Amino acid sequence: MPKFVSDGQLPIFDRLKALGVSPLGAVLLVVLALFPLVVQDEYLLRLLISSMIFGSLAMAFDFTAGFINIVNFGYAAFWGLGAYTSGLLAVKLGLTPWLGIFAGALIAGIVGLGLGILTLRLAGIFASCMAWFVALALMAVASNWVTLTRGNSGLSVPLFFDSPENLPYYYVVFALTIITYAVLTLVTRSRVGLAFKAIGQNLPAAQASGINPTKYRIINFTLSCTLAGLIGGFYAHFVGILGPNVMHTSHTIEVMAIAYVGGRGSIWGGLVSALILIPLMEYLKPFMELRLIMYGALLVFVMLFYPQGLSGIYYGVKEFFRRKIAARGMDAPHHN
Amino acid sequence: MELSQIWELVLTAILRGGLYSLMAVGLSLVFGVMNIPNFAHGEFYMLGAYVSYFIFSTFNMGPIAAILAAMVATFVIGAIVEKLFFYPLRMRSKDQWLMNTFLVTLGISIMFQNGARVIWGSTYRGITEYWPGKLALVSEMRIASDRVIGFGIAMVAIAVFWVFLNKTSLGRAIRAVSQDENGALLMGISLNNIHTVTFALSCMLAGLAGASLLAINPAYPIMGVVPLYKSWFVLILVGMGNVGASVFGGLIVGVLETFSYYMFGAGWQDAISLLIIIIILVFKPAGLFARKGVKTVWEQ
Amino acid sequence: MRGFLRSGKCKKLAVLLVAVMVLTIVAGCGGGSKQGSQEPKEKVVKIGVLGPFTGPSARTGDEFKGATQMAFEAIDYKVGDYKVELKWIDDESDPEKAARAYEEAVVKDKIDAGLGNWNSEVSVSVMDVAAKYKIPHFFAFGATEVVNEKYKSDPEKYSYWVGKGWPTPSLLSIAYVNTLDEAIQKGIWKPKNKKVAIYGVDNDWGRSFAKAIDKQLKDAGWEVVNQSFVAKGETEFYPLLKKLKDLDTSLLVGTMVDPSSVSSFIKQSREVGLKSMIVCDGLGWVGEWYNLTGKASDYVIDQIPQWTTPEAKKFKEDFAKKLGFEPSPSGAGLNYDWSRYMIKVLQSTYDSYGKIDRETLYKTAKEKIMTGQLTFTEGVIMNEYKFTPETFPDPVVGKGYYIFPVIQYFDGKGTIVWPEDWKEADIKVPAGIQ
Repeated sequence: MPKFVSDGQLPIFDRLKALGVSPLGAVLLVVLALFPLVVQDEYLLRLLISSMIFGSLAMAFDFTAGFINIVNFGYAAFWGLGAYTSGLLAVKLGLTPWLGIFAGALIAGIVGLGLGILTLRLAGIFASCMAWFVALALMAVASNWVTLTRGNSGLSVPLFFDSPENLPYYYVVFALTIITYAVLTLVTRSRVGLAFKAIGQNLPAAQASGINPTKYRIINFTLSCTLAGLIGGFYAHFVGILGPNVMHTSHTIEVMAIAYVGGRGSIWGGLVSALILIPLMEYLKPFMELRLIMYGALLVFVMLFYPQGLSGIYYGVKEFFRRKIAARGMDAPHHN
Repeated sequence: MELSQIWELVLTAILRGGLYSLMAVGLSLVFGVMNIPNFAHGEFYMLGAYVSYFIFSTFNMGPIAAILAAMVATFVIGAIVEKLFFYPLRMRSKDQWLMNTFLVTLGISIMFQNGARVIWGSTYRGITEYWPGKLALVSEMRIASDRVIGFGIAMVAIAVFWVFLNKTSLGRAIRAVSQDENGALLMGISLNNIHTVTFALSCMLAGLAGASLLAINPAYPIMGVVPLYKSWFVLILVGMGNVGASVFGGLIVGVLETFSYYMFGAGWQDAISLLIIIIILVFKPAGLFARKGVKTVWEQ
Repeated sequence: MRGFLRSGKCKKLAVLLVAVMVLTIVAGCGGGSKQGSQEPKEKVVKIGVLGPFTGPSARTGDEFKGATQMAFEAIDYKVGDYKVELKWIDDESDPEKAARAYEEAVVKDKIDAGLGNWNSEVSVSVMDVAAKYKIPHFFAFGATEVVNEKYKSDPEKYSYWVGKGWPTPSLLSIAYVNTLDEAIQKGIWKPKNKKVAIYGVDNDWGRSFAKAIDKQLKDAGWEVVNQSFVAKGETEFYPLLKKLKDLDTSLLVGTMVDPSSVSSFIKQSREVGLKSMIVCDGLGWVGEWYNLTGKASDYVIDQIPQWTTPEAKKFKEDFAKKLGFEPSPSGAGLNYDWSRYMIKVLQSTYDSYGKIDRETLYKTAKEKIMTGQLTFTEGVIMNEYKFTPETFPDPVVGKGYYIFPVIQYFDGKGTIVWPEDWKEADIKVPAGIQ
């Protein structure tokens, strides 16, 4: 982890460092921020919007999986809950999406809290299984409560903006991505975050130091689900049509794969991974099924050889160069 | 409900559950012995179905030949997969084993599903029946012979498997590895071979399930997804790693689904079955028959 | 020097520099791709063909692709002095991915028009993209009311969604009610009661069909005692069939698109001893259906167009030879016809305006197709493919236009039992039910 070096000259930079944004990360964010102003390609914008949606979802997923070591196998249901809540409020009550997405986040968070209280007392895998079943049940309810959700016929949801351009959507999702990243990083770097890591890595030791694992797990899980709901709300008003399939396990797996390829426990890994994988998969589309076979092979390859994911590779490379520079520093005579 | 109606339902439930049991036993074995949550289990079911289809339909050999061929094919492919993917992973690191292997099996699953589509296309390879005729077992129901024989095959396979696990030296070696790897190693058991055989056996059982029910479930590339989920339901309900109990678990899930289908229907049956499983898990989160001793999954 | 290199100022500068570099490169690439494509010497019209080429509905996607290819091969991909290029847009049956892929086709590949699709949800999400770029999209198969509702919410904006290749289920399902009523009136069928149970696959199609036929049956005096929905791909129907048997209905109506589901449903209905007349919409949907279902399908009623004309039979043979599997009349057959209608549209546009592009195609759509002036009568499946302002976005359904005959299966072949003009035989009622 990069050390806290305070130059005292530029507080902005220190604050960025506090958020875990390395210079490289800062470059990425600046590029993302200015991208639409420079590139007018609507398609690329849409691609990046999708990447940011999945990237944010992956980051929030990693928050739970990478830190407290619990795989939320029902993740897509919280994403779906946020989407349906925001969508239904807009359709039935005419609530503006700007508020709707927060309502979505709230509902997803409440359900996440409830589920957490119910199951996070137990070992991780049981919580994962329970989350899976709850997600399946929610999907079944969404399918069958046709009078409310229109079930599998599909719910038409009003879009954020009347104009069809992608630019406004881009900045909304960019803002959401920044919020997600900032919130998650701030929490993981706080004392609460330390507790998460302790619980995730060495439970008995954590308990011995007086940390109540269940309480922290619930905090983590609830926050993760809330963010999923927030992004789900955006998803609803971006795609414009919603079906119970949003909550399908295959979507959880999509996010999971992105998060893990990005590297667990890194947060930013999920975003970078999405920004690479999603455009990559799009460009490979002409290959039809071959593209998916390659995707499967990629997963296997990464898990076999680089299980720490992109973030692992990044830190590994950094470490390698740091050692080289340090070694050279020791040999060379001191200049000034 | 009259008695005969209940009897009909129970029979239906048992027939449905038999398939689940067969699939779940294989899954449970791999999870208990190798600690791999196999997400590609359904794809071996699919491979078994395809192989049996080609042997039966294209080469016109009998049903027995078709099913045997499927078993052999899935055993071999399973062994290859184990050696190719899980052996290197074992050699490299056991860190984060559970999730790593899960994602590896996910990758395998994606490759197999799409590979099947590329090789065999999307058309549905099915047959009308293996064994002609119907059996009148109960009141007006004329159950297809296929279904009864398929169930019979499943039960025989499970019985044979039980004998294998408990009475043969290889079977005992497998159980030894599942209980204590280091101890088994000290006893001179070759871990690598045991792992390969275990995985191959699990795939063989899935392939058997896919092959024996070809008349009910035609072969197509993504046919393995639902059986996979159902197998996991059984495992989670019963206690992961408990191979014996997964037999009963299959029947339990079968009964649960049958009755909720009958009583609630109209699309709500899935929600109800799931709700019941959730309630059971709330009270017994490790499963109904969770056993201590098999690797619990606190350890990663 | 080293002091400067380490200072915050330097780092900030570096960040900005790199960011600007990356942006310029990207901008250069993005701009370059626009300039790089020179004006082709040949005149080309690009058509984006939308469909589920991978994913859960890939079976249908295969048929559509094959049929469209055959239609355009027959004209050697030439209309007037234009060369036709097809761009396959894979929607993966997912609305979000579909919109992405469609936008890519518009922005990067610069398609001039769109053709076809299968899932209704995909239709709804792509409608917005087509409207955004003013791309006329023709004859999409997404059939359920959600498409009509979206269209009606803003007909001007969505006028770029030129017609549905498959009418709303309610327009077709009424034929079943008519057929059965006729049989009752003629005395061919004396049902023991007027109770009916409805079943369907749990997706937009199944739900839409069930809703439509529920109303139509009730209006015709039937009592609907049960509506059941099954998950896609389900093959275990004993519990459901037992329940339906115990309800003692004289009629069972429904739809299941998945070949594995529908074949198991019918086979198991015989095993359970169900004593109802069975209507199963979509039993014969895929070419290989009889291999899966067998004799259990006798007496089942369905609505599938048949390969009746010599041209139709030829198409079927050619398709099977070229692609290696049996086409379905309602899948590949219909798509073949709509593709050829598309070709007619291209030709007509060329003849009227001398050039084929988005604007001229849209004009043809608005002035000729939506008004019913330009129709297609050389189909192998339907008599006439036509739209009118009243029926739009659905095609005109009825005798002489788009109509599915109601058929009854025996030995894997469908005998037409309705409408009267085409009838080959009366409905037969199996012995146990009368």
